[in-house]
Amino acid sequence: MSFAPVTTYPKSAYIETDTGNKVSRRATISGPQNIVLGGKSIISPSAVLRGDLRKAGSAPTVVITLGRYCLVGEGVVVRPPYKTYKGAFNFYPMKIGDGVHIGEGSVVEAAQIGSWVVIGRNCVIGKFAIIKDCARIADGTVLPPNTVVPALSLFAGSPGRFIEDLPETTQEVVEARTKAYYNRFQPAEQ
Amino acid sequence: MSGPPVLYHCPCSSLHAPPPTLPSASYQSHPLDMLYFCPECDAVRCPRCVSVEVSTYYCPNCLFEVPSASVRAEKNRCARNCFVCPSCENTLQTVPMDPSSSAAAEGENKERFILYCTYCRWDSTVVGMTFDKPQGLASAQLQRIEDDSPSTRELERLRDHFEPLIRPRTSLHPYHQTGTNAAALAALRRDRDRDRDSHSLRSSRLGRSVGAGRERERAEPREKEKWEDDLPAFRAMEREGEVEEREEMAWLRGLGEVEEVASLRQRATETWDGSIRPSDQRPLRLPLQSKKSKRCPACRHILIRPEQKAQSTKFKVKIVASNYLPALEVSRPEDVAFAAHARRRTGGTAQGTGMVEDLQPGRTYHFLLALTNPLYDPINVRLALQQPAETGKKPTFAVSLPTNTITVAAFTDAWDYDEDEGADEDAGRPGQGRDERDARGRWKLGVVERKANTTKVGGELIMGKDAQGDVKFNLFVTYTYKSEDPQAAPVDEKEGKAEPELKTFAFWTVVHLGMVPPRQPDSAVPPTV
Repeated sequence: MSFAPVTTYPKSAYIETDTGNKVSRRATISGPQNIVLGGKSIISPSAVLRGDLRKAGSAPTVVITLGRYCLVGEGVVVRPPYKTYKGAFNFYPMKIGDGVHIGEGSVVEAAQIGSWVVIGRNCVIGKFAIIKDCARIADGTVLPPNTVVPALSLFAGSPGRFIEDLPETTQEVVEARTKAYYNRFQPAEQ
Repeated sequence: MSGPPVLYHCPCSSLHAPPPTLPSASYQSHPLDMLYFCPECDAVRCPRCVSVEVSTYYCPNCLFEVPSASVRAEKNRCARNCFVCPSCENTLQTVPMDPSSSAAAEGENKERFILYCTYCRWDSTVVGMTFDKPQGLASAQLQRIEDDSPSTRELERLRDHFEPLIRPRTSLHPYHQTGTNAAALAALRRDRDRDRDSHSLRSSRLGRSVGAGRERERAEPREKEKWEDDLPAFRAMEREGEVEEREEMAWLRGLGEVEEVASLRQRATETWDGSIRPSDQRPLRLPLQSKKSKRCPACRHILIRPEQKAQSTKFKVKIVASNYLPALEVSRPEDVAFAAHARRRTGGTAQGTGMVEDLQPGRTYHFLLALTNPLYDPINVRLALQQPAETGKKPTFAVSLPTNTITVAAFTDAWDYDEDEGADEDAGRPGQGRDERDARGRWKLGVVERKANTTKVGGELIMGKDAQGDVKFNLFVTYTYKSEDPQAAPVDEKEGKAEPELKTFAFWTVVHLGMVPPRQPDSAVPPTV
């Protein structure tokens, strides 16, 4: 990582929050009052976060929770999962842990994504999927609804299947990489 | 980012790294993150050479930890509610048979449940499976069918048949038999004995012949080895009927599409009878997965011991090479410029990763090698290139690297803190704050930058006129560090204090600098076939 160049962006293209989140002005954030960003997370242009798809009822709820050092790639759609249970149609909240990178063009409808998870480009993460810590989803994977991805495993293919166990050092590697990515992502001087 | 990572050689296959151009070389070197380090043997260990033991079994779908005693009884598969789709290998869902009636039929106890695949829409009514309850499908409802299937009975018989052969063998070769294996075998034996007591029907039918075998075994002196020849020939319970085969042929003749036959993969993973008709493929219980402990193959020192909890990513013991060996990274400054240019061209969508400009024959390139020290003490590193093998073939490229000792500063947690705060404004910015070139603007062979626990050195690559293919070379890295072991340190009698002993460790790496694209044919005329 010592050679990775700084990625710059025009300062006006992103909104930086007090906790260091960088949200592109060209991203679509619906229902921002229902979305919690943990800090130092990046939301790329043309990403869609559907915080408006909430459980019926008037009580305030958190729909999408994102941890620290996350990256929502360009064109990614993050949409809470829904189902009809006992005759009632409802949306369910989505939780995403720390250091989760979601590649460009992926659609995520998972119920839960752990920490230090890497999701490749153009993936489809089905409704109510559960992805545990330090897992990796290869580019172009289609995870059918309700799929469970165990910790430290690589899933690929359509339908997404277990491919191999990831090395024991995965957490350190992904942690260092996601932190370095955030630190390299800096506004250009104008 | 540069191209492929610098690979580290594991001494398990050969002490010295083979020339990197050999096809076998790629199996002997690994990325640093995948390697282990045995502190007893002072050696690098790789995933291919460590000895692996299972520490916990769990179901990859319901994430339930399965005690090892029941793993064998359940035949290594989930005994709860997890099934694999016979058509696409996705995990199946249990759903009410008629989704619209789910609200109305509640409490009536009339509802039936089926297994349903959310990917390919296969459902268990295809094979005539419906269930009364949505829970406990595997243990209560499917295992019964499974245990009665001819293949299961045949396997039981085979196991019984070969048991007398296995038993004396295991005691004879303690070297090949690790403790766990022996324990597993003992569990198997226990398991079978218990089975025999509980299933009186099975024991009366199958146990008789084996019972007789055991009597005979007891009569013979125990020391006598039983070899294959002593075993009576095994006779299968039933043979594939010719009638069935003829039926199958008739069915095949009537087919219109090749897709109508179950694929080989489907048939091979199918534990029932491997029928060629997709309509016969039944759902399988999901195979279990395991967490593994890893040991040094030479001294059995524990290298990896996972926490008991199935989904924990923490380890009780984790001795990995990245905490011992300096990390090497290679980059060509031209690549950085190239990637930046490409990024501008494509409007910022390109990430700049993995974008490496192809090398051209006859040119000279510069590259940087970054050495990062993971130890809490500074280290001195020496780099040495492997001399080309005596093959008589002239090397197509030449690499020069500094040969003097390079000091790499110690790793401190403070560096981590700096990075966290994003304090390094000019981190990695090309051509800024670095003395890549000397006063006369020439490329500098030697240390070009020191930052925190990373030192970057410059190198030069001269491409020959006829260079082709991958440009990679073996690099021998030697480093000295202060020994942490106070016992090993020699005590200076006069001074009365321990002098820190300097220890040296060396390892081979494979550095990949890029690729020369295959030469284009000179003539524009396409070859005639």
